[in-house]
Amino acid sequence: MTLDEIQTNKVAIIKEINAQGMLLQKLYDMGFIEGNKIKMIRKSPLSDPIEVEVLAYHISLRIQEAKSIKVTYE
Amino acid sequence: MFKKILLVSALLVSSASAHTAVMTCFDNGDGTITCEGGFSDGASGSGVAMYIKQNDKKVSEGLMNEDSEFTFTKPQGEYNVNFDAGKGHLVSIKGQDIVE
Amino acid sequence: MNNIQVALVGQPNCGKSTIFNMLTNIKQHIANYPGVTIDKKSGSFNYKESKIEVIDLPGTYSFSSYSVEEKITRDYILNKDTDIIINTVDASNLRRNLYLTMQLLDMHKPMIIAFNMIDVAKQNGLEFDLKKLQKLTNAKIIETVASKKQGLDEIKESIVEVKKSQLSHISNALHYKELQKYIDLIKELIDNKSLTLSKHYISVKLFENDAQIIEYLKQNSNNAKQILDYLEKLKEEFKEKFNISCEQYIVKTRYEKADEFLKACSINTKKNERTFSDKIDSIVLNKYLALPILASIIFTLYQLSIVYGYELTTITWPILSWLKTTVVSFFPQENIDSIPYITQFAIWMMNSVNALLNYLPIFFILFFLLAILEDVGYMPRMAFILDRLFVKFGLHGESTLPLVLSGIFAGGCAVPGVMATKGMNDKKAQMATMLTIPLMNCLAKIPFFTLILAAFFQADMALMMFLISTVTIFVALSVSKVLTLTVLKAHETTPFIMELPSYHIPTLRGIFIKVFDKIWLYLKKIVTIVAAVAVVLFVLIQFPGISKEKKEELDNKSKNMQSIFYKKIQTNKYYSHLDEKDELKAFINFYNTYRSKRMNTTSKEKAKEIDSKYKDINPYFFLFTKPKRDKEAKKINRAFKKLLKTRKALFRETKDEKVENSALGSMGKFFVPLTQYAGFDWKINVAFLSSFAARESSVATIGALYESNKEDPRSSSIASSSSYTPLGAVAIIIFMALTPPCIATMIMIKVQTNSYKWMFFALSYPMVLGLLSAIFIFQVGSFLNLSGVEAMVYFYIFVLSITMLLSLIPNYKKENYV
Repeated sequence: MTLDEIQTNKVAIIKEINAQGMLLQKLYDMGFIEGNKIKMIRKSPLSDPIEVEVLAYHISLRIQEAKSIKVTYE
Repeated sequence: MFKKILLVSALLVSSASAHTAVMTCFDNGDGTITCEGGFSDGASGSGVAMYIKQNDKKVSEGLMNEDSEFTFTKPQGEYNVNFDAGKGHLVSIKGQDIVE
Repeated sequence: MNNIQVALVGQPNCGKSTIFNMLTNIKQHIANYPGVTIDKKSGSFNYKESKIEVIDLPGTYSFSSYSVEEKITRDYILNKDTDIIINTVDASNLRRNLYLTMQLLDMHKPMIIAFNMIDVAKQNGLEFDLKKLQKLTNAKIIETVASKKQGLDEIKESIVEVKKSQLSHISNALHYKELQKYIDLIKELIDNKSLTLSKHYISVKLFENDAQIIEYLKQNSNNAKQILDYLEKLKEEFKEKFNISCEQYIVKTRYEKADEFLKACSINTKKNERTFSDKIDSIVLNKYLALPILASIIFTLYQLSIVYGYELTTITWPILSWLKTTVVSFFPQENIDSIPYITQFAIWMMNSVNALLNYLPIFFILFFLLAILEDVGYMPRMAFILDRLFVKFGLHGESTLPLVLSGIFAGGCAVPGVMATKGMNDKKAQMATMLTIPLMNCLAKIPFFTLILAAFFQADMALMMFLISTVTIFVALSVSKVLTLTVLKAHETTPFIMELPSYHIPTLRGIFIKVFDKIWLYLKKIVTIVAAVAVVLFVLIQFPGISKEKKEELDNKSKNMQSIFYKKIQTNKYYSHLDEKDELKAFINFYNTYRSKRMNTTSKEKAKEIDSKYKDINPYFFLFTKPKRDKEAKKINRAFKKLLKTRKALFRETKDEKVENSALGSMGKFFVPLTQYAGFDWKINVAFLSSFAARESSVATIGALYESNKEDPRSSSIASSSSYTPLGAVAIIIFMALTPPCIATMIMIKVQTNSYKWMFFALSYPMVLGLLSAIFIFQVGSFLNLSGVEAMVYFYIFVLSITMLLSLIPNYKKENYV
């Protein structure tokens, strides 16, 4: 499944990132790395973007971007 | 015809910047009071609605003339003069603050 | 004195700017980096024989070469002239901050680590062995609590010490494990003679596939091709062997190394809970509460700044008014039949500058509240809540605030709106926001709408006002969408990946620094440029002036006016006090200054004081001004008032004539072939032009162009006698609603975009759009025989449908992020 499909307050592990260039670099810098744990905090009131926790940071990203990150539950 | 003047005046009143509506009144000492109105950026207040209120009731009304002045007869008792150029652009002066 | 150049780096939200304020003690210089619109803050201080210059670089999460901020930061650090970097680290979030530190270590520059927010970290139960960390990184570490000025002297001391010491402060702490030997292979190939950057750094960046470094290598190395070919081979080999791309491996190693350091220097770590922030967020970002809370915050902001700030201007305005009269009083006095050019110019300039200074109370409150919101950390949350709505129109969650300030409802102000776009990350959305702000509902247009509505739409005033003030929002959204798909296509767009930082309690000092920064920017840029523009406009309106024949005609009228006056008072017992021209002139000026002095007084004592002062100046003039029961003086007073009225009318006529003959007047006439389709004649055009440009009481003047002095006290009854129909009024209103609010806004756009090209674009497209809309309304309305209200309602529905349709067009694809 992709990152946007994690249930709220559940933790998953990043499996694969399908992005290039700036998006990829930005994701790396924010701690989205294969093998890292990621937790879904909440969806925005209008249900896009989403807020996730990775490496103790709370980060918001659009669903469109979240779709490029494959995750699995532990 | 005056309508046209009003219209064009209005265009110019709308000129730039956050202008504060300003009005000052002057007791002519002969039973009449003249109020000059306009905007802080120098725009004239010509054509702006004026009214005198006593106990929250309009007792007389008119428009600022082309010199941006409005002269009225001093009413008996307490009153206030209002310069009304729309929401956020209203000035009201109490009669007792207009000293001779 | 020796110079030391220091660069401040750190991640966003790490307290870097408080360290900067602490070091430079608010003596800062703000400029723009060449060619971009990012603030370059610098400051300097002296310490022990050294002049230390500090540059506050933009906060970044990394040093790739994708964003402008990152490029700038990187270039400054790598610059030969930068002696030392001060790396600000947020102790309460060490792991991430160390990730940035790892990248800095690659750059091989002497580094001091400012270990900030140690107090917050302690509260979270975190303690560190800094000696150990110092060993690991080979960088000097200073504990700081910027808000309490703790660690200031130590930083200054260590800057000098690091600069002096012969020891290498370059750390080789970072070892890329499996990849290291590949990195070393490339390093050996790099010929160091002509290169300013370290081999190690170049090599690492090559493995990261950094475009800028690849370019750098091609420029400066003769064996670039050989190196790059070999690099490709090595990268493939590595991926084969370890099943992970080099780029990702490097990032991973940095994080692992950061973890290693963290473990080594942490003592007694309790799990860092974001409990406090999380509690707030569970309310502020709650599915049902988020929007009402956001709305109430925005409403409060608007109410306090625009509404109360506006009320404050009634208190501050007399000060500006006094300033104007004082300045003007230094210029030559008015003549009976004219006002000297130089005095006119002084009045004009003071009006222009005052118009802008009048904003200050509003701005002060606004900037203060914004600084609080910013420092608390609410801004990114605002973007998070509303992004979905805005993204449909090529805007961004971060566009919320600028658009609200510019007047989503009731009327705002475009200047702070444009200013608020500064911090936006997505450059494309930033441009789109900035360019649509002029379409929003500016507060200063309200009196204009009120006047027209009162005249034409007495019955439907509330409905019309609502339609006017909301139609512009939809126009703005549509325009933004169109711009994003066309002219802004090439602009850089960034993925919406934003940190939602923990909430902070802001420091008053930090807030005031921000407020004064902005106020200062406004005063410096806007007021000075507007003053220059005002000079140009003055010339445009004053010259070439009136024709000889007209001048003669007006002179005769003035002579006539004076002789009527003299005829009336000839037999008066006070005649001798006014029988000379100079006396009359003196009396006119006496009368006017006395009136203006008395106008703003409400206290009896003050009034008495002014009266006795003017009595002393000239007892007779005073008597004519306030004749009380003196019959003879009363006659003079009456005749004089008549003269003044005629004089004013003549001045108006002169001014109208001047405007008609001026460059501005010619422009107005020039556009008639086009504007006639919207029902505007040349006078209206001139009025539009001068309403944007000229701000002074030429209002009634233009009215006099219509050669009418008839007065009718009730506006409602005039509507019937006008050559303008309600439909024409709607065309005028729509045109006015869409034209840019003021020069100050335009200048602000120039300041933010750093380009006149965009400024002119922002100025001209709304005018074209406004005119087209006006023509559309007028033509279609005339053809279908619509009433004014009908035309407005249909136009509204039309705009709304277009907005809806445009929102359905997708505006970007992932492939855009290259």
